[in-house]
Amino acid sequence: MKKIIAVLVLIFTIIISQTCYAAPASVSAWDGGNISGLVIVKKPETAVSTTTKQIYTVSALSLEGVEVSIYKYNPYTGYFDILRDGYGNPVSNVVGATGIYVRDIALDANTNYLMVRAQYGGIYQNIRFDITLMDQGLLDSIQGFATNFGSKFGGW
Amino acid sequence: MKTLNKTPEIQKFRKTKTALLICLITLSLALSSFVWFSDELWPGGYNFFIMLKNNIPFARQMFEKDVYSMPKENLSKPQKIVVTNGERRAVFYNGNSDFNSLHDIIKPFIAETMRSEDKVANSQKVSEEEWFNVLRNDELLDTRSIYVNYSLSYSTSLFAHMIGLRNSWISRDISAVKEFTMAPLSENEMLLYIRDSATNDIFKYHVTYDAAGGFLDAVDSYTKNSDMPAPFSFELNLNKNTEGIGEGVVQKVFLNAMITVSTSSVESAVVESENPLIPGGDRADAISDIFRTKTGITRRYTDSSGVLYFVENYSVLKIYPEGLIEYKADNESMGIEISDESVSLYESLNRAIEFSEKVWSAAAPDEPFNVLVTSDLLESESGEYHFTLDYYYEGVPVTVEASSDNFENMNHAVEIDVKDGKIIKYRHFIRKYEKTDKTVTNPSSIEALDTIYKKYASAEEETQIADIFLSYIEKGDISEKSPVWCAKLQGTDETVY
Repeated sequence: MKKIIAVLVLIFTIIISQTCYAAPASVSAWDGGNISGLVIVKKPETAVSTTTKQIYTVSALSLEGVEVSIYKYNPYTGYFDILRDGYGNPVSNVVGATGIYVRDIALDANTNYLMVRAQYGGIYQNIRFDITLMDQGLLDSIQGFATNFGSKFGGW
Repeated sequence: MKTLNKTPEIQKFRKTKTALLICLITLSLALSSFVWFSDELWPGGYNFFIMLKNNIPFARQMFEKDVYSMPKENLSKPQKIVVTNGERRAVFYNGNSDFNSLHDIIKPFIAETMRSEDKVANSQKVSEEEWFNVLRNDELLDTRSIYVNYSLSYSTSLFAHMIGLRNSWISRDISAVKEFTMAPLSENEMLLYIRDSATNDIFKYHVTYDAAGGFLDAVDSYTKNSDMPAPFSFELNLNKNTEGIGEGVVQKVFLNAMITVSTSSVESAVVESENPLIPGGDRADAISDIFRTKTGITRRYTDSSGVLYFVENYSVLKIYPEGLIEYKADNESMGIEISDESVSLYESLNRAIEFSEKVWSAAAPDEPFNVLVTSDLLESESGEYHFTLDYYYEGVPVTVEASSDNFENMNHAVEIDVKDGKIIKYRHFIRKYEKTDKTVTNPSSIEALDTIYKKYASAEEETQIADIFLSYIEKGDISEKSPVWCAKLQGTDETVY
């Protein structure tokens, strides 16, 4: 009986410890983490960027075994909530041997306030970035103007 | 009276003589024609009729049957076409549905530009950044472009031959081609970018092309139903060390800029391999006939491991029970003559392919010979060429890694060494593939790369990945085969999976 209890306690401890270190459902906007140098976001290259792609591919570099997750700002709570895919699963992956992390996310119209969180055991780093999804029609208008401008002032 | 009686007999005799004479003349003409038109009975380069046939296109058409050749057809087709239309992108591989119809739009434009210099208003050398900008669809660029990758480098003159031209003025700028990018500008204007695969220089041509409107339509229609992002590696900044957001992590794996990264799982067909080469029997004789030289007396025997030998004075042909046909000329000058134009890459390649088709037909009659040329096709001043061909099934290549105690490792379906217009070494691993009703789901290429990288021995060093692709692996066993992700390392022929 004692052995069974010991095994149950051990299993419970493992589950609890894993839950503790799994990506949390929400993260504070002001939390930058307790370490740096755990992750680099390669795409987008800058903290503020604009795109016309509704399905956007984020790329990052980290270390093998690090869990990388993507969060999105929730204006109702003021926290960043973990993104979920079409099946309701969190957008979270453990980085493999190459250190490369690539993940598609669906952007909403206008500005998307996002965060990448890299976590390994009790250490973690959060990196914030914003992507604005621009309407293609608006972009076409701007480019039409630019083309006319270009044709009037030369170049090919 | 006597004379009168004899007249019908004389006439009958004359008729017989005439008939006999006609027969003899016809026979002599027929026999002479065998001598005149046969390559076999004349020393190389001395047959006037053969020279006539080779040099005059009309005569060539008259003498030669138009035989369809899948490997030759594939030579003029790219391996991958990527169509970008604003935020939409679609990737097509040779063998996919829609690939051929899309290729039918692209090929005439490349051919027209390479044929007519007068259609090109401007040309200039440009930076790789401009090449990327024409292709990228992740920035605020209203990109409409088509990227074409042939997977192997062709000398420009050979490429011109492959698309039906005698030569091209573009060979003044570019020595070897592999990748093209084209962008429609208006209803009759196009931009064509060609990367010189020998020097990595990129040239941009501003071309007047009447069917440019068709390109605009094609870009729209071929991306209409596509919802996968399929970013190029350079769009994700995975091709080189670039600054990102954050610091402190060292990148150890770099992906070639033109790799299209799959971010979701892929479903593929499971195939079954078969060795159609039954040891012994008529097929072995038919194969040996193809390799037989004019002068040789062939000795035939089988060794204890079942390898069938055909030994001639200067060469040995072996047919292994595993399905490998191996020929080697001990004396290079006594190899199998395939061309009298010893230094022409085009002629050597064509004849080598025709030769491999003959071997395939003898080994696997009535089976389609689905192979792609996989060796770079560059001119050699020495007149020595090494050609490799590999099987593919529905656009997915087959990587051969056959080994046995009996023979040296085989890494391609066909390996042909040609020197001075003669085949001096030929190896052909005979296999055919049939579709099963099973399918398999592979992970995304990035997930697969993690597994591949772990297996790779030099993983601690910086690794450059030249390509990631799905491939069936042929190890020589007769079994069901599922495609797996493979990576080709930069600067080597090594494929890791």
